[in-house]
Parts: sequence; structure tokens; C-alpha cells
Amino acid sequence: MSPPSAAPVRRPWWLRGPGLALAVALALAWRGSEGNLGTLLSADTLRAFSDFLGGFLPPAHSADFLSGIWRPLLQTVAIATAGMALAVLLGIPLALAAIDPRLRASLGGRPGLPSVLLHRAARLLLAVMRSIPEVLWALLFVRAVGLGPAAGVLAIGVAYGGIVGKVFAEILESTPRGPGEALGGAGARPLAALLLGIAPAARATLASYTLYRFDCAIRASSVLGLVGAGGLGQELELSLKMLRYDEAATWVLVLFALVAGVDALSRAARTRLALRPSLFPATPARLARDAGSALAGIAVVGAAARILELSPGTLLSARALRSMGDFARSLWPPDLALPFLRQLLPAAAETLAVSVLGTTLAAALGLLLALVATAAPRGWVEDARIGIPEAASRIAGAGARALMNLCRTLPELLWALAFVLAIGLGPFAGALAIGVHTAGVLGRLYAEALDEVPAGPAMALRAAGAGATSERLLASLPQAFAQLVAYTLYRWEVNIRAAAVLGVVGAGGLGRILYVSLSVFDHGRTLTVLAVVLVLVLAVDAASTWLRGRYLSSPASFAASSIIL
Amino acid sequence: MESAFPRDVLAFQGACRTLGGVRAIDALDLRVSRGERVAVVGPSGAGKTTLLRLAGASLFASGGEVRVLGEDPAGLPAGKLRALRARVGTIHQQLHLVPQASVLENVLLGRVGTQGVLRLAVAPLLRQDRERVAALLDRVGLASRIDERVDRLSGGEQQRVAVARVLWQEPDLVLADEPFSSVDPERSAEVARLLVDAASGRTLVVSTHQIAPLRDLVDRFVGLRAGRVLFDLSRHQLTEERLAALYRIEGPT
Ligand SMILES: Nc1ncnc2c1ncn2[C@@H]1O[C@H](COP(=O)(O)OP(=O)(O)OP(=O)(O)O)[C@@H](O)[C@H]1O
Ligand SMILES: [Mg+2]
Repeated sequence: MSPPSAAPVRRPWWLRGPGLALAVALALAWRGSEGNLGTLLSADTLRAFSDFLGGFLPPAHSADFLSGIWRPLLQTVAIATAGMALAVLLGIPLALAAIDPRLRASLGGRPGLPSVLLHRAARLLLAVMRSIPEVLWALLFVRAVGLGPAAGVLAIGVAYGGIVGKVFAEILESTPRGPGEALGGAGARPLAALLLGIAPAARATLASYTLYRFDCAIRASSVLGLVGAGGLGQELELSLKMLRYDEAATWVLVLFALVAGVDALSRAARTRLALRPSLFPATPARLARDAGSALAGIAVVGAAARILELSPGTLLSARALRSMGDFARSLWPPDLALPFLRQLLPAAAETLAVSVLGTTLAAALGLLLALVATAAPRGWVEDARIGIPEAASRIAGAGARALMNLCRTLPELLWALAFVLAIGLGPFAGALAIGVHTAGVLGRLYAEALDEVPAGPAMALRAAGAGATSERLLASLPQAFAQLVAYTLYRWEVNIRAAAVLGVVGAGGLGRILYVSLSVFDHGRTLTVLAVVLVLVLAVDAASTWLRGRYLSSPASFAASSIIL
Repeated sequence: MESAFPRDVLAFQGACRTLGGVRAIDALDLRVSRGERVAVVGPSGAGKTTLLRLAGASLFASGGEVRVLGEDPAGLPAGKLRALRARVGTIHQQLHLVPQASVLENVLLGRVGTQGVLRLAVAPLLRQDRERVAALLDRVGLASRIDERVDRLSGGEQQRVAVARVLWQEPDLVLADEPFSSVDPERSAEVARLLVDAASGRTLVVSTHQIAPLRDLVDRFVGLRAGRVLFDLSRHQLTEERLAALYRIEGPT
């Protein structure tokens, strides 16, 4: 007997508007990226993959090879260090200018027209700086200041300056305001109230975000060599192209170790900052220690500059400035000829399709990895008799986590290089590259979200005899679903930037056209492509924000964006 | 100096302030003269906090006239406004100390209106500043905690840090918003004594729900209700009936 139902039958979500729209978008993205299961599963591709994996082991470790990796490695770290220093130098003043005028007002300021205009200008500048991906900045700077690490440092400085500026402003805006307001009420200047009343509560977050960005900068500077901006990218590309996969494996392992080292550093710094007993040194001994740390930091950046043979003098020399100015002038006017614009439109569509397909693949693969990673029961089982299935699920979980870390450590561009070698040129290689790299990022975020779900419903199911997997699917997943979708949408914003770059290694989209126009010094075209990239990126940011607002009760943007942007 | 310092430390005339569509202060008249100690009482939502924010020049009237230490805050340029705010010391209901800073630093921050960030940053290393702050902390009974992080102190101890901060600021007008809300009734009397001690030689305006601790320590009681002054009585005139009328809940009519 079925109960009488008065309510109209509700179709499942995948048959309603959003689900259908998503399906259509995916179909278009598949076509737009020239998705092809045939190629992916062809004997040639599979052989390429197995060569690839087989060639990795054992990683190259001859004394000869190992003695040769030091210089490019040091250069990569130096580019990341100097670039990050520049990014912070640019980002802090821009963040202060970009801070919400309402925060300024609550700190006792009286925002007049100049400060409102300054706020707008800073926001705009930050948006342009961070919307053009660092690899494109590197291409531009290679043209402006010549081949070499200077271009890499400038690229990371500008692109990350934009991100750091925005995120710093958001962190400060979302920090409790009471202490700062009280200082403003006691007559402090707004900047003093911000520094003394708000920044102290934000300092641990600011520091660990900066170190997280440094970790990104190391990964970024490992690919800048592909466009001639220094670092180990060139050697890695060479190893891959010469089919010396064992060398590539060593590079990857070294990169992996570096990133893990920065991660550990970040955790240590965070704890140390959080435990500081005061804002300023209270004893001469503490003053000496703090001054020592500051000097050490400056010395590290100085050493990085020396390794790269850079100095503010050479970066800002009359000759360098003139060559940058000449390049900037040569960008104008943009090429708006109709045939060229017609060529851009499909490339833009391709870039968009690659970003959508890549993000979707990543979401599917990431979810799978996250479910495996979190399948093992949390904590130790009471009776300490771990059965075979549980031991297996623990091992599988550890394996999934390692795989996610590997996917994450290699930037999209390196994955794209690998996929281009395996399945040939074209946007599908790009979509796969984005899919694999992002699966690592999303998998980790998904796993964290699933782990944080309140345990009540899961325990109820457990008590009713459900297994670990059904517990995940039925209890944890529905609760964490909105958060997972939000992470995915944030990541789409990152991926549209990545997709705009992949053309550099022949994986389709706008990057290819930009690369060509820069190579043939057709700078009018370069400016047009840059404008299209900017519009596309801003449009995706807006779409993602809209979707989050429309379908999810969107969390404060900084919380998520600071971890994954 | 006498001429630069008007008799009325606070002068509200028909002052109004709307907050989120609510008339938090509504055509309010109030004068507080130099050296007076005034308690503002009234039920929740009466507008006590809003009144103190107007008095501290961190909020401006949306109608009528408000003069703080003889100045009209809304009409002052930024620099003069900061100078005026520096002459008013506030102990907030939620204290609003900087949790990551030491007790010493939180007290030193009292002079943030007159000292630059660099001056404040080196102050903990200056023997003279340190000794003077230590003396103030001794007055509030916290001398041994000077180098501790303020968020390791209890609520009542933090409140005494806030009092020491105002002492260090040396303002002409001291404002305290519900200073008894974070201590038990036993401690209220002690806090009241500390407050009055801190405000000796200055003008004090304190808002509160608890009359008892202040009964013999302030000169005047101002009863506030729905943003208006319901009564303004010397401490001898204040009766239980007037208080009961102030707190009576008006039924729907
Ligand atoms: N920021 C604000 N937005 C909207 N309304 C506000 C705001 N601040 C205060 N109000 C309203 O103004 C009125 C007076 O508030 P106020 O905080 O001054 O009361 P109070 O007497 O201090 O109350 P309490 O004893 O509970 O602290 C209340 O009705 C309150 O809801
Ligand atoms: Mg209040």
C-alpha cells in the first residue's frame, strides 16, 4: 500500500534546471575540448603511459646527474624567494589601499573622495594583476626584460602580488574588529588602529598564507623555465622530451621534498607566532632575537638575488626601464581586425571548455580519491582486532593520499607536457592535465570536508550495520555536499587561468595564440589576447560567485579561497 | 587653560541618533559638568551604549546638538577629531583589549591617540615607561602580571587592565559601559571603587544595570528609556519608585 501523496512529484535534481544545464555544459565542454575516449584508451596511449610509469623507476641517481641538479634547483628556489618577496612588497600597500572603506570608517577614519578613489584603483589593479596567470606574465616579462630569471621573479611578484594583496585585505576584513575600533575611538589613526588592533589577531593566518603562497611560488617557478624565465623547468622539459623519464622522476621527487619542507616550515611558523607573548619585544634579548630573525629573512632574499645575479639596481636601471617602457608602448594599439577576432573566439571557447571539462574530471577523480582516503575508520577500533578489510582500507587510504599529493605537486603545465607527449597535441591533453592536477587539490579538500562532518548520522548508520563505504555515501556526503560544490567552483576560477596558459605547451586555447603573437613580435595581437583572457577570467569569477550565491549559502570567500587559490 | 576648558564636559541638546531605523537616542537633553560623576541607568535597548558612543565622539548625532569638551565632533577635521577622542577614555562593555598583546602593551595602547606606532613599539623597552605602567598596575592589583599575554587573564583581571589603560591615557572624561557585566556581584563594589579612583580629578559617566555598587559613589543618576531622559536626579533624590518605573515593562495597549 502506498501512502497517499498530495504534494506534486518532485523530479530528482539532475532532471531539474540546474542539473540539465550542467549536463549540457559538460557535453559542450567535452566537444569543445575534443574529448575522445578512443585516443585515451588506444593501444598507443596505453603503451606511452606504461613506458612513462616504467621509465620512472628507479629515479635517476647517478652521481653525475645529481651533481648537475643543484644549480637549477637553487635557481628555482631563488626565483620563488625573490618573487615572493616582491609579491609581499607589492601586495601589502595594495591590500591596505584596497581594504573595505567601511572597515576604515569603523576604525575611526572618515573616508573622503580621495580614499574611495584609491580603494577603487587598488581593487582594479589587484584584479588585473591576479587575473593574468603567472606564466603569461612570464611570457610578457621575457619580452620586456629578456630571457632569464629576472622575468620569472617579476612574473611571480606581479601575479602573486595581486593574489596576496586581495587575500591579505580579506583576512584583515574578516578579523574581529572590536580591539581596532576601541583604538580608533581613543584617537588612533586608522592605520595605527589596523596595525595594533586588528593585525595582531590576523598575524598567524597572514604568515601561514604567505608561506602557502611560497609553496605555490616554488611550484610555479619550476615551470617558468618552459617559457625561458629560468629555473629547473627547462631541464625537466628536456628530460621529458628526451624520454629520460628516470631523470624526470628525480626532479619530481626533489620538488615534492621542497614543497613538503615549506609545509613543515609553515606549521612551525604558525605555532611560534600564535604563542608569542607580546606584539613587540619586551626585553633586549627578545629584541636581539627578533632583529636576528628579520636580518636572516633579509639575508635569504639577498642571497636569492645574488644567486640570480639580480639587484634592484639592475631591475630598475635606466636600460631595463626603457626596454620595459618600449615593450609596453609596442602593445598599443590592440589588433582589432575582424579576421583575428574571429580566430580568437573559438580559442576562447576552447579555453573555457578545457577549464570546465578539467574541473569536472577533477571533481569526479577527486571525490573517488577522497572517499578512498577517508574510508578507513577514524581512530583505533576498540577491540584492537583489525580485520583484513580494515587493514586494506587503511593501506588504500594512505595510497590515495600519496597519489593526491603527487597530483598536486606537479603544476598543470607539467602534466600538460606529459599528456601532450602521451596523446598528442590539443585541448584534450590540457583538460586531462587540469583534471589530474586539480584532482589532487580537490581530493585533499574533499577529504578534509568529509572528515569534518558531524559524526551523528554516520554513527546511526553504523549502528544499523552499514559498512564504511555506505556510511560515507549515505551520511557524510550529503552533509558535506554544498561545501564540496563550493570548493569545486572556487577551483574552476583557478582552472580558467590555468587553461589560458596551456597553449604554451600545445594543449590548446588562448595560450597558443599569445605564444605565437609574442614570438613574432606582433604585440598589438598580444594586447588583444590579454584583454580576452582578462575578460574570460573575470567572467568565470563572476559566474562562480553567482552560482555559489544562487545555489549554496556561500561561505565567507576568504575561508576557502585562501587555502586553494 | 581655564578658558579652553568649558564648564560643561558634555552638552546634549535635542540630540538624536538613528541606528538601523531605530531612534536609539531621541531628542535627548543632558549636561555633565567638570568633575561630576554620573551614572546612566535604564533597561536593555534604552540607548545607554549609544549615548556613551556619542559622548566619546566615535558616533555623531543625526540631529540636534552634541558638544564634547566644548567641541562639536561632527564638524571637526580628522586631526582635531582624533585629538578630541584622545581626551576621552572609554572602558567598553566587551573591554576590546588586544588579546595577543601583553598586559604592559595593552596599557601602553591607552596613548595610541597621542603617540605614534613606533613610539609605542619601543615603549616596552624604555625603563621609564615600564616603571610607570608597573606603578599603575600596582594600583589595580596586577603588578605581577605585567609581561603576561592579556588573553591568559580572567575576565575580571582583564577589566582591571582596561582600567589601567584609561589611567595611562589620562583623559579629561572617562566613560565606562556596563563595567559590572563581567564580574560577580561581590566584585562589583571593588570594580566601582577602582573606576571612581581612576576618574578622580576627571569627569566620569558610567552606564549600568546595577545601581547598588554605585549608590554612594556617583553624584547623579540619569534614567534613560527608549532614547529619552526619564529622570535626572541627585543620588539623594533617587527612590525605589523612580527606579521601578524606569524598569517597568509596558504592556501592549
Ligand atoms: N548597529 C545597530 N544597528 C541597529 N540598531 C542598533 C544598533 N546599535 C543599537 N541599535 C538599537 O538602538 C537601541 C539602543 O541600543 P543601545 O546598545 O544603545 O542600548 P543599551 O541601553 O546599551 O542596551 P544594553 O543594556 O542591552 O546594552 C536598541 O534598540 C538597539 O537595538
Ligand atoms: Mg549597551
